[in-house]
Amino acid sequence: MRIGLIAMSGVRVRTPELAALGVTLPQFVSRGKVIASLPSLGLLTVAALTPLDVEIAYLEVQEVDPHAPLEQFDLVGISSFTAQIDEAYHLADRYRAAGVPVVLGGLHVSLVPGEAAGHADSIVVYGAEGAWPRLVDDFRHSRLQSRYDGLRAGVFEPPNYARPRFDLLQGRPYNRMTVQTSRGCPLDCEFCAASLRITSAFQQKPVALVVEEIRAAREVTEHPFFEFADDNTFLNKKWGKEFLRAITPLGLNWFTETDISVADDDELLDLLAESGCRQLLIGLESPEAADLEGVDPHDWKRKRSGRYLEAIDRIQSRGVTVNGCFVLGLDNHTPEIFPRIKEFVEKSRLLEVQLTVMTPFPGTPLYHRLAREGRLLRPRYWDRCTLFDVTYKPRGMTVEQLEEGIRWLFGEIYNEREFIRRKRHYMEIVKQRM
Amino acid sequence: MSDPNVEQRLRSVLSEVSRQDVARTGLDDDLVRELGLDSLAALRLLAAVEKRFDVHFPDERLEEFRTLRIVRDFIAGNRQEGAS
Repeated sequence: MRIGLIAMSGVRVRTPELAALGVTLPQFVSRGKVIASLPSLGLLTVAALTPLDVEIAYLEVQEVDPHAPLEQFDLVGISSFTAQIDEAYHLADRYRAAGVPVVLGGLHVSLVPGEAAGHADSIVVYGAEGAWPRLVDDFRHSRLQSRYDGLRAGVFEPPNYARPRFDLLQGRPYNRMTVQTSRGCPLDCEFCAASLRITSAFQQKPVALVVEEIRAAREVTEHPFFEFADDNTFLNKKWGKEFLRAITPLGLNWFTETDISVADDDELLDLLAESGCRQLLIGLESPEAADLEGVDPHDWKRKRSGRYLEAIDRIQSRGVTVNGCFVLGLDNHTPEIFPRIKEFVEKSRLLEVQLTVMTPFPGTPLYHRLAREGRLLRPRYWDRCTLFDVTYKPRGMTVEQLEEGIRWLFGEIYNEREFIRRKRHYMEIVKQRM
Repeated sequence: MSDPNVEQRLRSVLSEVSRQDVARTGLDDDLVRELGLDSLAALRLLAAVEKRFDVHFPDERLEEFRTLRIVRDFIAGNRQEGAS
């Protein structure tokens, strides 16, 4: 049996004006290109959960020529994010028309399973752990079911855990690798459409397993830049320190996402710097407490915001850059938010900035609330879930004011002068630490 | 003629920043492409060179310093008197 696993990933900007302004999503180079060039960890995990006697072909969507005959498989699995889901459906429809059964999975499919089921012979909801091995066995015995629910807990425990098949990437030009150390995040921000939506509680991978995965990934590419594909890596500080001590001897350069509380712990900050952490992506969301009311159920971010400036300085002074993320169009935002964010970015001397528009991804609490309030601009807008397109009626301004403010702020933050200023600031920090 | 010590010290800095053996890195190799340096690593390299060789790369030209030869030649032409 031969199974084709097809990854649809990447970030896109629909609005030409924003593309022209040079959106650099989170990072140093064009973040969109970086994300598009990352392998699909989800499908490498699916491959690992497949019995060894089944041949697996791993494909990126750009390798599937839309005009050429389809590569033949006994079964096809496709994973996609919301913004590209229509392209995934189209590819699935083509395979099914050619007589090849298709399985769809991933975050979007988990959040909108009914829609996805219309384009697949079977869907996998939540994690592949606990679902995929059953699915393959059923397919082998001609009893494929229309839906398999994966595990929402215990995914890193035996017998559910399987080390992702990094070996499938052999010979491909990846210089970045992703490894997951945790799944979920208890902060539960209303707009979040990440892995917390497919977990019942925060899941933490044992340090030894993470180290094994890093070693396995390095067998494919000797010196990759590692991106830990987590929602919040350092939620558990004790685990975090154990993890950092374990990876320091490996000589990595790496990036991850976490929350601002890392700045509370000097020992953790020192370990971050020593272990080769180059950047922490932190969801600040908005500069001031009043803006943040209701963003998460416990108002955790609102309570923390008063110390943002001090925390950013404590992290960056270690040579670890902070990629501060702001969500534009929160319910408490008015047109005054745009100059306030610019002022905060200047004052904080953030070394990288990510600006995105609040986006009600289908299936999230934000989506359900805005739908109830009649504020969604269209009933179905998945291709606009790019994080740069406005898809709802903001509360404190008009759609046009939000769009205009975004363009203005992008121009102020992502221009050449600011880019050079941030680079020089980073170099001066590095020199001070030498 | 270029100072061979400068190149040797430059390689030492590059090795430290990239955490790689750079003995085989050619003078004209693109450091970002050949060593897989991310853009922050490229900036750390330039910062380390500024500190060790007492030079200052012009901010608007940072992207240009992508090979050992270009960096070495810049050092040769811009070192402060008495810098070691």
